[in-house]
Amino acid sequence: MTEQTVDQPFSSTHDDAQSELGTQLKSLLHHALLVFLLFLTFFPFIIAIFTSLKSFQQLLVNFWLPAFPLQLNNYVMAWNEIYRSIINSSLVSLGAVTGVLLCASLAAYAFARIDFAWRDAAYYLVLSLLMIPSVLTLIGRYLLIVEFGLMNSLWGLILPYIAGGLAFAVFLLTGFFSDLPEELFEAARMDGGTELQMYRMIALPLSRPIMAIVGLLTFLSSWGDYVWPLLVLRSPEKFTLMLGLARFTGNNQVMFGPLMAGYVIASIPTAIIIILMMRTFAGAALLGAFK
Amino acid sequence: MISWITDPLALANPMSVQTADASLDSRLWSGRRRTMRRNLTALLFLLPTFLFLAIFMYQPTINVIYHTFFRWDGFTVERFIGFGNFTKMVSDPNMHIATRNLGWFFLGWMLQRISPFLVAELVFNLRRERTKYWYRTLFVLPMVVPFLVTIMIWKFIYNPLPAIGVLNRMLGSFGLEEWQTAWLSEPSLVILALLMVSFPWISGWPFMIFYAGLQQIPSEVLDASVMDGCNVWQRMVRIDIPLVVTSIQLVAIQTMIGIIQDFAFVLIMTAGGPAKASLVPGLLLFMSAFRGDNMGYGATIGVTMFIAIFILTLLSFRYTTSPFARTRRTRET
Repeated sequence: MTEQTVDQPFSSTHDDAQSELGTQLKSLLHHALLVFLLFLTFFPFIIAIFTSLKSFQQLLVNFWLPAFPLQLNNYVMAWNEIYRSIINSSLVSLGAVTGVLLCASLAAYAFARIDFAWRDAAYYLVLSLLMIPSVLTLIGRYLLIVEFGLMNSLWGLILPYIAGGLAFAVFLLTGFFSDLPEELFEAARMDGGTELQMYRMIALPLSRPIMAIVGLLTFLSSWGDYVWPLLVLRSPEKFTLMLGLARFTGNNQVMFGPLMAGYVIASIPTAIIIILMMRTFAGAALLGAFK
Repeated sequence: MISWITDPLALANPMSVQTADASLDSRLWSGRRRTMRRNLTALLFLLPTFLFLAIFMYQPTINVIYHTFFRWDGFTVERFIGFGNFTKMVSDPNMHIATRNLGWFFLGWMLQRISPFLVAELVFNLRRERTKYWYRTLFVLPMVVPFLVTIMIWKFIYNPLPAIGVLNRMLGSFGLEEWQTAWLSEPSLVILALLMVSFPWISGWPFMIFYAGLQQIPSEVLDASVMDGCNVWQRMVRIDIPLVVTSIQLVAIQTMIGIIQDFAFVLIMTAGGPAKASLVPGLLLFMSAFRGDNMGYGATIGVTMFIAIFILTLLSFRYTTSPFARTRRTRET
């Protein structure tokens, strides 16, 4: 494929200088178009970062470019406004990730490695949940949370998030566990290993990359959720980051600097996690063929 | 895909080895006891998962479906009304507005999600691997920003104040003051404005999936197309699109499901306003169930949306077979 793409523009047009020029012009246009699209893609984020470093007066006078002195104080204000909700969101997301990884890996191990009665039926019972959209369960889950007295509690987020992430996690992990070579397990079985030991000593250590992906997906979906926390949480000190940001936005009609600073701060945790993941083992698998 | 779901069960089946063991044992009861123990172990492994699923997935689903037949505020069931909620929904003018809006969103978002294919082609047709890598990385980089934050930044772009809103300010600096407007409060503009959010819509997983799909095309096919003097456009229409049609379908199905049920976006941007001009069924569900004390009606909308998603998914799976077959034939010849 590489050879082909390198060869293609030259293969037939090598002869005369005129078409050589034409090729170059075309390639220039090609790059210009891509750079323009990149500019449009990044434009809102660049404006947000510039605005986050300006006072309101600076924004009115100099809208498009960074203005000096930089108002780093905006970030302090934003941090004071949302740090509490960042902590809450971290607790919720970590709880959800831990729960999903623990339950799903156990279940997936059973589906992939233990031959038990009604295995297929049980597996399809889990998979069928992939078809159920979250709007359908929204009302029912809300009533449960009310009934369990979990309103305005972070547990009211963590437990449904775990349940919501399980079906897909089980699906991914079962596929992975069943691709592990049977010889490993056979050897352990000969030595009298129990299933729990095999799960802990063989399956888990070998499945770190896929676990990282499942963890990442769970983290991102719980971190970015808005509707469910809006229903469950009432008091501002319990708010998750997205709720906190929405409240900050709503309370705030003029202080665009601190507001944008809040948006930048809110993007940092996800940015760090995604970039770390891309740089380490999970990256290759995460992006699949897209390396 | 389907075979991948079923295969693990068949592949990783230690049963063959174990039954051989048991027959060597020749004592039936011990074999049975071993089976029992295996079932018990599996049960313990599965218990936490099924506990969660039973409480937070199966129970709410059944509960919601059951209550579509009642007039119900969420706490006290008032009375059984049969299909009353459904007939109410069919004649509800709000639902009509919401469905019509959803149609526009559906069309717009579908185009939005498919359009990155063209950009994927643009990047894929570059010559140097290194350049491709950089474009690809840069195009997906904004994905690190949480979607909600992107939405809120776009709310800032649409800010109605001429001096603050990025779009209005831009129009002002081009001398187009008369075009400045409150983008999200104009009933005739609001849907268009919402559809333009995150223009040019490249950064996202559809782009990644399309690019991965292009990379999967066997290089012999591409080589052959060059030999035959195919130009880029011909190659795109005749080779690339038929060969990555599964990726396109995947994106289309995911988009469809997303569009029908997601309402957080509209809730944050406009809350359905101005005056229901951007109302969607998901938001109507949210409003009637949680802001209007009519859980039964909300449940009915939820169930209807589920049925719609289900049918659309089935339909699109039905249509996947024919392009598959065509693809295979193309590859052979």
